[in-house]
Amino acid sequence: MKYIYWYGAGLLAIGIPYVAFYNPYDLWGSIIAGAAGAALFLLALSLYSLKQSSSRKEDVITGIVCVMLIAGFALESEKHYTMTTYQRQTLLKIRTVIGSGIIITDKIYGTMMPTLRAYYRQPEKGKKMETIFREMYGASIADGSFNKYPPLKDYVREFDIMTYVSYQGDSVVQYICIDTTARGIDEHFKNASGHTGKLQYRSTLSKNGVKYERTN
Amino acid sequence: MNEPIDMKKKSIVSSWQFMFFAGSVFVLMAVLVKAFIAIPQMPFNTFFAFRGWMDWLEHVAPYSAGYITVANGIAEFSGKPLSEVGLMSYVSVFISIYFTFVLAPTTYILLRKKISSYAVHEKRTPLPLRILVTITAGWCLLYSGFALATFFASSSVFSMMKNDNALSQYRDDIARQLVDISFKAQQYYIFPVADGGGGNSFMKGKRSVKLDDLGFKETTSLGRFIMLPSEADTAIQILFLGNKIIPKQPYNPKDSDHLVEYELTIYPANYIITQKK
Repeated sequence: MKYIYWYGAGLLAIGIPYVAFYNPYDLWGSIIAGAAGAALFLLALSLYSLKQSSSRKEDVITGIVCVMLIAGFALESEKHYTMTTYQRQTLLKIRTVIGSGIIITDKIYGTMMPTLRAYYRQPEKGKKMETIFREMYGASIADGSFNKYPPLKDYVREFDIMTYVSYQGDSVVQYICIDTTARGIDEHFKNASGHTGKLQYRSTLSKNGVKYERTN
Repeated sequence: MNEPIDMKKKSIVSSWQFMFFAGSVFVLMAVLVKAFIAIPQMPFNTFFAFRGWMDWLEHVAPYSAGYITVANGIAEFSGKPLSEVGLMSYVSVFISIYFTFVLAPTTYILLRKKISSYAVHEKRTPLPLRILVTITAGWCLLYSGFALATFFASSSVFSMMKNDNALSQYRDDIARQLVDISFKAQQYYIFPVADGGGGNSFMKGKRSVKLDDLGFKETTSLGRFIMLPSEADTAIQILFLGNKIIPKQPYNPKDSDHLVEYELTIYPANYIITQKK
């Protein structure tokens, strides 16, 4: 009967906090809460053992066993938590680096540099920057945004980099480029695309060249 | 009537000292086995099939939680919905925590008391009882030993991981800087001389354009960018020497000076970045 009592008490001590901290996307909360309940349970068990004890050596062993169990679990779990959280953050940083690279190299320079080159190659500079830009990419532009490449069959707009084009007069072309997957600096930042906290760059093409800045 | 207990009559195998000693030896062996398993070439692996279920009970909690954490990182990386914790994982983790912190220690502690009461009454402890108490004590010690061994092994791996990531980030920063230099140089090439450019040339007067002319410094926190002398007006070569020492990589023992080095060649309409080291 004594065994069933303690097994039942342990079930409640671990089970209640374990379930209370349930998160469908994360197990750490439940594990930490469950382990805290387990530590309290082992403390209670040790005190009970101490109270009923007839041998000091037995008390020492009981104490060592309980402390080692909790310490071992805590150390191992903490290390796994730190490592996996670090890996997750690193993955997101890598994603931001990839997104930045694509935006800067492919979306910004990849389309603005040919425009700039064409602008300076025209003999009389009769055409304005906007005109040349529209001549080169007009077919790709739709609803104020464009993608340089034609859509692929499995193209999913939600996961792509979106580029919004606007003009300042007829001599300046502006982009706002958003990577709808990569995280930006501020998680509350409102992106031009309606997303929140995503990587965003702004760039300007004029006769003075290409300039860009990261806005999130 | 009540004769004093003669401790000499007790078998040494049933004493708590012996069991503690045996358990400690068991833990030490487990730690050693764990260390051997960390080295894939060691033939010991095949002899320790028991480690399957041991590993499951020992690691299921931190491994499952870590798996979900990384899986959600990958999901976020690729723009997919986050993975949910499966019912099986949720229940498995609970069982492992319950087994580790309730079933094993409670059984051990309560059985120890029972064995003590047998000793007080000078009765011989039943063999199944002794076996069970040894198993539970062994489990508790083994678990703690494995957890500590995993902690130390993970610490070492984590340290290597952080070094590798720092180096990757450093290389990313360099690549970004080289790309920026390339596009600035190409713009210089495009601009007419009257607008401060090279007028379809990388020359500035009778010399090659310098990094200063493009708005970059030769020495930065990343390292040194050295413009190599060139008489051609349609290409620029830049050598980058990193100021960061790379930790010696085991797969490349010939790497003697441990310096990051890149070569950048810029043409009017493209550029080539070559990683030398």
